[in-house]
Amino acid sequence: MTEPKVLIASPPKATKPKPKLGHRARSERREAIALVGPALLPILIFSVIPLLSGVALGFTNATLARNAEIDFIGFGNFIELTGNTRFWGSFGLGLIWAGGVALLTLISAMGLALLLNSNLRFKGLTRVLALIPWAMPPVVIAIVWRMIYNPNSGPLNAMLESIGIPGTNWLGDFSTALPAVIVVGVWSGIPQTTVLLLAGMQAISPELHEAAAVDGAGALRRFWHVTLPGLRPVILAITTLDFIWQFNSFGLVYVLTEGGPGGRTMIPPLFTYLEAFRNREIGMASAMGDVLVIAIMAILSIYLINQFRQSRKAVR
Amino acid sequence: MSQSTTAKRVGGRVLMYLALAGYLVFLGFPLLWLVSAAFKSSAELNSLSANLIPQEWVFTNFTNALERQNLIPAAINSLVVSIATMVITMLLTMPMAYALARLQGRLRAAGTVWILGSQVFPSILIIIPLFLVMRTLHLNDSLFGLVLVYVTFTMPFTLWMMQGYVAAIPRELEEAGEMDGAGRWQVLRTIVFPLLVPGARRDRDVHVRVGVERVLPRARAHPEPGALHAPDRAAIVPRRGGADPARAARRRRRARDHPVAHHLRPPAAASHRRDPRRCREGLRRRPPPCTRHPTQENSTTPRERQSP
Repeated sequence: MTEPKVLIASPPKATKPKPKLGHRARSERREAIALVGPALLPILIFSVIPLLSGVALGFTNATLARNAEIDFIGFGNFIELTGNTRFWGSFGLGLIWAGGVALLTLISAMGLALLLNSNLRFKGLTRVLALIPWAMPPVVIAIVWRMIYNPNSGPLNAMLESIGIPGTNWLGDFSTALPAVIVVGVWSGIPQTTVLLLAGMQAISPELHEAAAVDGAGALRRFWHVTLPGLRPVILAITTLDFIWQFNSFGLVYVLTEGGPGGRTMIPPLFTYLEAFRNREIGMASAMGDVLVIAIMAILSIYLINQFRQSRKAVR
Repeated sequence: MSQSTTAKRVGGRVLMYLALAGYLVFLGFPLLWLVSAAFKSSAELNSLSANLIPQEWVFTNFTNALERQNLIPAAINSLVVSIATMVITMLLTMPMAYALARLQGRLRAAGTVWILGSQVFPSILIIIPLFLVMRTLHLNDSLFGLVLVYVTFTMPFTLWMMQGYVAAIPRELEEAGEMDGAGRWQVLRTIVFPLLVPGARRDRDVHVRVGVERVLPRARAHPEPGALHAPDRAAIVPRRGGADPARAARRRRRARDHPVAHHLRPPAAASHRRDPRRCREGLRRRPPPCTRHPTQENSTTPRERQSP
């Protein structure tokens, strides 16, 4: 089995011309087809085809109405979309929501991970309790927090009123709805980020901390010059992913506020969903989806370029 | 001087405990409230008083949930769907992960593009055409159709994890098997797939969890269109449990005692570098050779390591 190795090591161009395909290469190709084939079928049918047709729907005037004719209208949807201020407002809200959740989750999870990484008591208990939000499905999370935020019988207002601060209708007030929803997003995102950060912290060798301590660095400087640089790849990865997940997330906000009050929490997936199933304009909704994909791709590319640069540095 | 530093240290510890308590309250209180609400009567839930401990303990909520809301059949459905998803995903991904990790070229590129692409697209873009596809195949409204969809949407994550594990299996093991006269399929069946089992077991746990999480809300008739978009965020996270040293030792022993392993034992340095445990320890500062990130993966593929 030395021959395929040679084949692999040689530049791919050498295998390209068809007549040169030897017995080995052909059998390898057959093997690849046999290995990949069974998995390829569901991927093609349930993932690739729906994905591509979803993208293509954005260029049509499809609706959910029965027996409606679907016409290809080119960039019509997108041109119409550029003038849709409500969509762009929702887009901005989505950026605030996803950015706010990702950043606040990172900060609070970093605090928790630092606490769990130092030798305090009750660490085991805290580690278990910190995973609570993870064990709850988004719909249940939203229901619980709706109870907590409830202006009449919610514990939050009761607590505030007991110390003399008047309560508010957290999810119904124009100014507090978005922050209240962001808090829930942070709450549900903390466990995962904490676990990843903790794993990253424990991978930093203690010798580095000791050396810094010997050199007279205090806790704060050790965090800034040892822990933080060591965690950089983890932080970047988890924050980017958090951002994308939150930008695409739907269930939490849908159950909490359904986009209200007055569209103050109308994040893009919700907006698109309502366009598709309330206004029944699938074509337009798909066009919005396409725009969201492009936005996410742009964010992802920042992350990928950064990763790429780093891995190249590591190779050198 | 020393007194002031000890006082400072004690003060710091007090602050840390206070912060820890704050986190505990923030993270734990909603669950506490959920539990307390489960024992309250609906009259008390709608009243103006907000007590953590119910004024009157009501247990009928639970019998209601189990009897009237059909929670048990729904849970059984979830279980069936989760297990079927897990089995089919494993059967499909193990060979494909092997192909992605070992056979280079266009296939690998296409696979990577799909894995990344399927993560990026918002569910809304996929759901409508997916529904149309399912309807044409008469698979909508059936558990089997649900399983197929779950399989497809858990596959990217599983594939990505599994091909990391494949990359960690020394190629020499396979070659040793071939030297002993095993055919390609025999090599895969008797060497590669058994070595993948610990990784598969880890993934399986995630599947069952994610499956249950996704089905439960839906079974309770909550419309949750986002639920089809997978893999769920919970699925993306490596479990710390993967770093279990006992399990890794067992696995290494199995690899060592493996009939074909006697012929060619990798030198100590190489075996350390390819120690499968290293790639399961979560994210490291300097990623091990079998990281799951695509770009890093590309930069440290076996091809590059072997070429001079």
